[in-house]
Amino acid sequence: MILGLTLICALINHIFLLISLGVGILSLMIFSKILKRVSTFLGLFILFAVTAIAITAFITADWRYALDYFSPFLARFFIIISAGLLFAFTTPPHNFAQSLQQMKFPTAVTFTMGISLRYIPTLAGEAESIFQSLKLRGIKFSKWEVIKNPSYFYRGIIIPLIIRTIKISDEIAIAAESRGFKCDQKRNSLHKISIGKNDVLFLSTLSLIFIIIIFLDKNLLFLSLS
Amino acid sequence: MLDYALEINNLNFKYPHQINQALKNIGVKIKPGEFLFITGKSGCGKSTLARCLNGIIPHIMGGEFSGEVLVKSKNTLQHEISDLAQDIGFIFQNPESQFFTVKVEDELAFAPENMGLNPPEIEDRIEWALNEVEMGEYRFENVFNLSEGQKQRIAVAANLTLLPDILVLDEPTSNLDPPAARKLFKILGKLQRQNKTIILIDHRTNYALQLADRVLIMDQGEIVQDQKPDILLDEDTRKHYGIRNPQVLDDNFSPVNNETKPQKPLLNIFKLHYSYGNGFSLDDINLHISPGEVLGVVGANGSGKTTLAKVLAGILKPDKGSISWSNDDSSFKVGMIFQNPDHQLFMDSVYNELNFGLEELKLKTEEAAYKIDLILNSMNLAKLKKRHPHSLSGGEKQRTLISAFLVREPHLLIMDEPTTGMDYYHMQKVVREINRLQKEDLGIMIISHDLEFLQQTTTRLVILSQGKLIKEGPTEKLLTKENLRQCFPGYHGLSS
Amino acid sequence: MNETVKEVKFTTRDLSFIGVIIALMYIVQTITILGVSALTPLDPLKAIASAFFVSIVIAIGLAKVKKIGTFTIIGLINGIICAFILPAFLPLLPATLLGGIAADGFSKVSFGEYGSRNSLIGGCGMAKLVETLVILTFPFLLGFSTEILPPLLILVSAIIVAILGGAGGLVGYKIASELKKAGAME
Repeated sequence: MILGLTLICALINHIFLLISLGVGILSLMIFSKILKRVSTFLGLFILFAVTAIAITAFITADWRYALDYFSPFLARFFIIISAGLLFAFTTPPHNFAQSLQQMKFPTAVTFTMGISLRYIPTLAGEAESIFQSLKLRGIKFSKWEVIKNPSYFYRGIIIPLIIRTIKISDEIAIAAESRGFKCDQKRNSLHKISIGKNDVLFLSTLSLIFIIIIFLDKNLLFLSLS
Repeated sequence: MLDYALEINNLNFKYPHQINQALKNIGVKIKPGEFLFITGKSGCGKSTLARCLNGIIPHIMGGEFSGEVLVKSKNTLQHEISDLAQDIGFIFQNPESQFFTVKVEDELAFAPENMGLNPPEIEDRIEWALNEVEMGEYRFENVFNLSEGQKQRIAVAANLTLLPDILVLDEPTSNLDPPAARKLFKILGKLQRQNKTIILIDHRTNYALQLADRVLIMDQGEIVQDQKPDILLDEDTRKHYGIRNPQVLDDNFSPVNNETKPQKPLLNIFKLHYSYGNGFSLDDINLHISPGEVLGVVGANGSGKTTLAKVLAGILKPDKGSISWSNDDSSFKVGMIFQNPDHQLFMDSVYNELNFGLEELKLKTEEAAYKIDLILNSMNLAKLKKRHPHSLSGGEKQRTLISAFLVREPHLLIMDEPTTGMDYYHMQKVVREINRLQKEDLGIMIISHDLEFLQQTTTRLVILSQGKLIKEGPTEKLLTKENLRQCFPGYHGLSS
Repeated sequence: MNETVKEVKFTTRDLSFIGVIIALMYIVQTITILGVSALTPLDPLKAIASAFFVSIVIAIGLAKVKKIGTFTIIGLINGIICAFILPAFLPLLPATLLGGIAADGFSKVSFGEYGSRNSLIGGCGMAKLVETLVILTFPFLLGFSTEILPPLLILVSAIIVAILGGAGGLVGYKIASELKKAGAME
C-alpha cells in the first residue's frame, strides 16, 4: 500500500489533490484511534517542514517561491510518512513477519527477520552491560578519549558484542531445530492473517479515490495547459 | 512398546581443533519413563552427550563422530533434528536465547507451526502445555515481562507442544533462584509420572536425589558410575569426581570461614534508595562493609542484589541516602565481576587485558609491567599470559577478570554469582582464591544462591527481599534451615 | 536474488547468525551515532562513521557464514525493517537490497565466496558504493525531490563512503581472524 501511494504521489502534481489525500489519511488515523500516538512523529515532521520553508524563504527572501518550491515535495512526504505510520502502528512486528510468510516470502527471510526484530532489545541489554564493564575498568567515553584511543570504541564494544552474538545465535539455531524448524519447509500459522470484509471495502474505496484523483489530476493539468 | 526410549552404543566424539576426545565409548540404554540424572565436573563431556541425544551433534555441530544414538530406534545420523523433534525435546540453560517471538502464545505455536498442524490442533496443544507448566494465565503475556523461572517453564511448554516422549534438560536451573528451581523440578516430577522419559544434566544435585531413578557420573568423556541416586550421598565419590553435595544444610553444617577481626568499616551505606522507575526500588538500605570481611548477599531473583552491587560499584547513582568511604571518595575503587565474564573481556591476550585502561592510574610502563607480572603469578595465570581471553575456560576467564581488577588495587571487590554452573572441584578453587584475597584486607561482597559456596567463604550475610534488607548477621547464625525456609521456600528440595 | 539463494543452501545456524548480526548492526549504528554526536553535530559525519562501524559488523557476519547471498539477505531484511520502523526510510530498501546484490555479485565473480581479506573489503566497499548511489538518486527518480545533486558530488560521496565501508571490511576481517585463532569463532 505504501508503495502504491508512493507511486501515486509521484504521479500527482497538483497540490490541492495532494492535500486532500493527506486529509483522507489523517481521518483514517482518527478512525483507527492511533492519532495520539502518531502525533509526536507528525509534530516533528511539521516542525521540519516549517523550518525548511522558513530557511528557504529567509535565503531567497521570497515567501511565495519557498512555498511553491517545497509544498508539493512536503505534501508527498507527508502522505507517505502518515501512511507508513498508519501501517506501523496498526501492525505488530510479529504479525508483519507472519504476513510476509503468508505472502510466500521464503522462510529463510521471514525467520531471519523475526530473529533480528526479537533480538534487538536483548542485544541492547548486552551492550548496556558492556558499557558498565568499561566504566568499571576506568574507561570514560569523553570526546578526548574517543579521539585518543579509537580502539576503546571498537575493541571495547564490538569484540564482546560479537562474542555474545556468536553464542546467542548458536543457541537460537539449536533451539529452533530442536523444535522442528527446517529452513526449507512450509510452515503453518496459528493466526491466519486473512483479508477481511473491511480490508476489501477499504481497498476498493481507496482504488476508486485514486482513479478519480488521477483523472482529476490529468484533467486539471490539461486545463492549466490550455 | 519399545524396550528403550534411548539407546547409545559405543559413542565417540571429538570437537574440531581439540586434542582430547570429548566422549569415549559411551554406551547407555534408557527405559521409557525413566528419570536419568547425568553429572560430573565441568568439561567432563556431559553437555556434549546431551547434544548428541537429539542430533545437534553431528548435524549442527560437527566433529569426529562414531557410534550410534537411537531415539526410539531412529538413528540420529539418518534423521534430521527436526524429524526427531516430535520424539525428543531439548531445553537448555539460558531461556533468553531459546525464544523467537515476543509473545508467550506465539512462542508455543512456533513448534507446531513448523509441523504444519491445523490451527485448532495448535490451539488445543498450547492450552494443554501451558496448564502442564502451570502458566495458564500467561498466554497473552509478553515474554520480556516474565521472570527467569517463568521463562524457563515457557521453554519447557514450548517443547511439550510437540508431545515428545523424551525431554533433555541441560542445566535448566543455572539462572534460576531456588524457589523457581523448585517449581521447575516439581513440574518435571509431574511429567515423569505421565511416563515421560526425563534426562537431566546438571551440577545441582539436591533435586536429583529426590527425583532421579538413576545417576550417571562422567569424568573425562567417560561414564564412570551408573548407579542409584544414593551414590550422591557418598562423600568420597563426590570428592573424587568433583560433585556437589545434595544436602548442604544437613551435613553437620557449620560455616568454615569466621576469621574476622573488628576493623574500621571500609564504607557505610546510610538510608540508600534507588528506583528504576518501573515500580522496583531499593529502599532504606543501611549497611557497612569492613576490610578483610566477606559479605554474602542472598535473596530471590529480583530482590535487588545486583542493583545494590551496581550502586556500590558506581554504575548506578543512588536517588537518596549516602555511601561514605573510609578514605576520600575519589580514590575509592570498586571492582565488580559480572555473572557473565564475556561482557568484560576486551583485549587479545591475558596480559593486555590486565593492561587495559591502566592509563588512568598514571603508572610508568615498567612499573605497570612489574605489577601485572606479580598479579599474573599470584593468580596462577603466568602460563596463560599470551592466550586470547576468549579462548580460556570459564574459571580461567573469571581469574583473568579478577586479576584485571586487582591491578587497579580496588578497595572492594564484588562478585555476582561467581559459581553459577560450577562443580565442586572448580568451586573449591574459587573458595581458595577468596580466602587468599581476604588476607589482603580487601572488602569482598559475594552475591550468590550457592549455599555450599556461601558456607565456605562468607563471614557475614545480608538477606534482601523485594528491595529491602530484611536480615543481617554472621553466617553461622543466618545460614540455618529455619531461617532460609522462612526467607526462601525451595532451598531444601521438594519436601519443604 | 532467488538464484543466488537457491544455489547455496543456508543452514538454520547461518540464518540465526545473520539475524542476530542484523540486530547487532542496529545496536552498533545507534551507539556510533550517539558516540559521534558527542564529537560533531554534522549529520554527514554521523552517516560516514556508522558506515565504517556497520561494515565491521557485516564483514564479521560474512566471514563466518561465507556464503554468497548473505549480503543480499542482510540488505533485504535491513531495508524492510528500516522501512517498517520509519517509512521515510523507504528509499533505503532498494538501496540496501541493490547494495547487497551488487556485493554478492562482485564477490561471486571475483572470489567465489566470502572469507578472504579482499573479498570482505571488496564486498563491503561495493555494497556501500551502490547503496550511496541509490540513496542519492532514488528520491529524484521517483520525483520526491525536483533537484538532483550534481553527479560529481554524488560520485565523490559514494566513493568516500565505499572506502570507509572497505576499511570497515578490513577491520572486520582482522577481528574475525583474531576470534578464529582464539577458537571463539569457526
